[in-house]
Amino acid sequence: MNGRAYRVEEDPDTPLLWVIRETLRLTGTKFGCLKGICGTCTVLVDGEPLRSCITPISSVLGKEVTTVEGIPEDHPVKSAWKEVGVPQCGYCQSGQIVTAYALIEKNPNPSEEEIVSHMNGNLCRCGTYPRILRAVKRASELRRKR
Amino acid sequence: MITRREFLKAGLLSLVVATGPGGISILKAQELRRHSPNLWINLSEDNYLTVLVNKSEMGQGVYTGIAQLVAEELDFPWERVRVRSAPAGWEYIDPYMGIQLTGGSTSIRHMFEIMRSAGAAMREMILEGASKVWNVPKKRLKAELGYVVDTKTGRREPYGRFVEVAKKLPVPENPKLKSEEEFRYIGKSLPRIDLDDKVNGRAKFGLDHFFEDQIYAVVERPPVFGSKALSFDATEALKVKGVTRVFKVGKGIAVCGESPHAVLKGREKLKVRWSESPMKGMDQEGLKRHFLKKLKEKGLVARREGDPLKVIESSKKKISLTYVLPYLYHACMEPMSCTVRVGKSECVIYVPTQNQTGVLSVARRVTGLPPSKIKVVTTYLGGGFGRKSNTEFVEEALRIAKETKRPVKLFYTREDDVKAGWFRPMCAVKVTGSVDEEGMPNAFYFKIAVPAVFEWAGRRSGGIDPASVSGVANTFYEIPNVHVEFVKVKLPVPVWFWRSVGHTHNAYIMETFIDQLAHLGGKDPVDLRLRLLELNPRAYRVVEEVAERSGWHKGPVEGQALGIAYHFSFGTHVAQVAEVSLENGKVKVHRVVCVVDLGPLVVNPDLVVQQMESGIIMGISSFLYEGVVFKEGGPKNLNFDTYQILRLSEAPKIEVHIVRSEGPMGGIGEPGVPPAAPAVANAVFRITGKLPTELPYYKISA
Ligand code: FES
Ligand code: FES
Repeated sequence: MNGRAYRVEEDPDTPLLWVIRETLRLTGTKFGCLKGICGTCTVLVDGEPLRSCITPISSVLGKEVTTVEGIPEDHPVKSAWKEVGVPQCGYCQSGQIVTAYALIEKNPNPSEEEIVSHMNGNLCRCGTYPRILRAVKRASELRRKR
Repeated sequence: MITRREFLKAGLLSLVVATGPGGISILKAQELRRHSPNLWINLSEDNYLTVLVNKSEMGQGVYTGIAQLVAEELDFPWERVRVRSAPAGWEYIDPYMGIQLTGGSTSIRHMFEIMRSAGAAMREMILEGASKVWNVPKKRLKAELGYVVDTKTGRREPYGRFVEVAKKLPVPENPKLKSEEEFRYIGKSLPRIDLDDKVNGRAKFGLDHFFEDQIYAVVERPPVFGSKALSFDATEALKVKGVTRVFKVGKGIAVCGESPHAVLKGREKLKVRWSESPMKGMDQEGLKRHFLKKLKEKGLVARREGDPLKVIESSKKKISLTYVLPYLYHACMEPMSCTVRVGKSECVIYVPTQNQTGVLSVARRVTGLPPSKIKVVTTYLGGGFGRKSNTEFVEEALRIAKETKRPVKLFYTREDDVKAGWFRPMCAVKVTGSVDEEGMPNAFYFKIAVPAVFEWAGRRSGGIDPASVSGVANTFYEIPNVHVEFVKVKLPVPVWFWRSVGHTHNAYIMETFIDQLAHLGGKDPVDLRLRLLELNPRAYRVVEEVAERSGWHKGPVEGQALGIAYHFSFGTHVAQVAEVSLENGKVKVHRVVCVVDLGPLVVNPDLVVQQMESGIIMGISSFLYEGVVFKEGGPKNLNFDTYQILRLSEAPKIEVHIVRSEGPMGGIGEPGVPPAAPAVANAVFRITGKLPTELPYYKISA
């Protein structure tokens, strides 16, 4: 996880979410529904965004997991997030940032439609949506400048 | 956790805001003889400012706003400002409320003078100290971004250098506050002070603290409101590896164990027998019938002018509508949670709360400890919206910790969070009105049947519930004959404050009805509002300006309709115009233009914009999707698949314009919500000719 190897002893069906948060104490990853509906708990597994609340730990053995803490602080997505001033309460933001990161890494120049469809599964009760859209666009600009 | 000693150690100048009955005064920490720490702002020798904020940060930006006020008057570099949440205690009460609570969109309004004065006092002490150390007249010295500058010689040194000397000086009685022209920060969109932590996953919420030896707990709650656990069978639950204890707590059954996974799995195996409830068998239609029946009863009159019923009777053009609006769930992204340790002589509570005074009093009641032995750490709140001013989840956590003698992390699942209730009340409302020969409204009759929120909150018993008629009984619309009446509905469904409280339903009704009256009288909705608001220049102006900014008089683009709404709440005037189209029965809100007047000063314009964006999206969300669906006496839409909230693809473009006025300062956390739903509804009416009088717009299948 985030470039380090961990050995944990858990029930094989324990959701990855709890291992990340409670066993390894990387509390940047949050949960909102525990049913794979809201996107709050999103992490990357081998570069793919996955909902850690419904991902059993047994399915990620030997794979590379990335959480919000594992994304470099100067990554274009995080820089754009700060420049635009996206977070309000902040609770959904780790999931948003991880999801946006996955998009930008794969497709540095997404269209608005691509951004919306990629990010649409991540709920935000504070309504930061207009800024999420702006920030992903900005992140793509920053990414291409690199 | 901050201790008095920590702050009193050498190298810190700490100022105290004492909010006693005699008013507000600012003291040095050293002058405080009493037992408890009461330290609000602290300057260290290495030139860092720490501000303790007595208000909860739930996304509204209060940590930033309050720090900005102190940094302004102290004249201090923003990068060197830190905030911490203040502990719970009488020393940190909001002097205007008499308790420590974040609500009613009041934080900046209430703390504005206090925090500025504290910053100004500190600045004067530092200057005085520098004048002593350098042996030059204070007049010659200037405080500038964390440095004392000798205006004659150009000599500069950081404030921190004078902390030791300043500590020995008296606190100035009435430190001079900056004038508006001198402002460096007030009025500037400084980045949120919590931005970095929130982008990097470092911000700590309700479950992010770890106690050694902690356990986890979930509570199985009654499926029906008004019922409670009678007995349970935990044989199977206790067989789940990691489940350690199962017992009654409150109305439900607590399942405790060594991991969140274990307690959730264990809970699935639990068998509970629940008591009967008067809500048994109640479904959505039954609720609606109940509210409509209550609406026929005689209520309490909140306002009466002239004789509206007679005028309506004798007017040629009249309209009567009955609205039924649902229970709304707050849906904070962070469900209720609380992390506690209860010892024999001390108790520590990590909690995302809007209500520190409430937490403290619950903790006293449950633990029997004196307040000085109860430490409350307010974490960041993953959304609050009023819900987290309730403390039932804190009580549960404390009881579980007491029973198990282990530190406890109590968490609600999404389903638990809905089942706990504390909703925005459902209501049924009858509205009748008429227009005169000129098409001007001449009578307005409003009768609402609704549960009493303030009674549920223990703030009132009997009488007219203030939330029930807010925004209607005190409307600025000048209509000569008015009747406003309240009928209390009593059901075992717990209700609570939901971002903008009674204004949520009342603005919807008031603003859609005004459009109906405009339609009836053949008037343009903007023109009619301007006529009715002639006596209130602030209200008039936001309506006028939103019409201009949105291109109201040019009309919508082909295939779209415009809808307007205006509402005054929490001291702030807000007008919004929504651009809406309807494609295959799907409502699409393309753009919302919003004009807001919150008075003469805006501390952080971008945070105001954020709150308007947030309120508008929540308002549209509630209009389209939200409502708790009852079946067999309990809520049935228990997660986001069935209790839907607005998504990115449905969020409109939002344009916010802030206007300044001479009035008193208004609040900002809530007033963005009320106009959004009616603005969209009014546009929908213009397209379909049909006003949605029952919400949500889309039927929920649960
Ligand atoms: S918590 Fe995993 S998707 Fe909602
Ligand atoms: S920022 Fe609060 S839920 Fe998204």
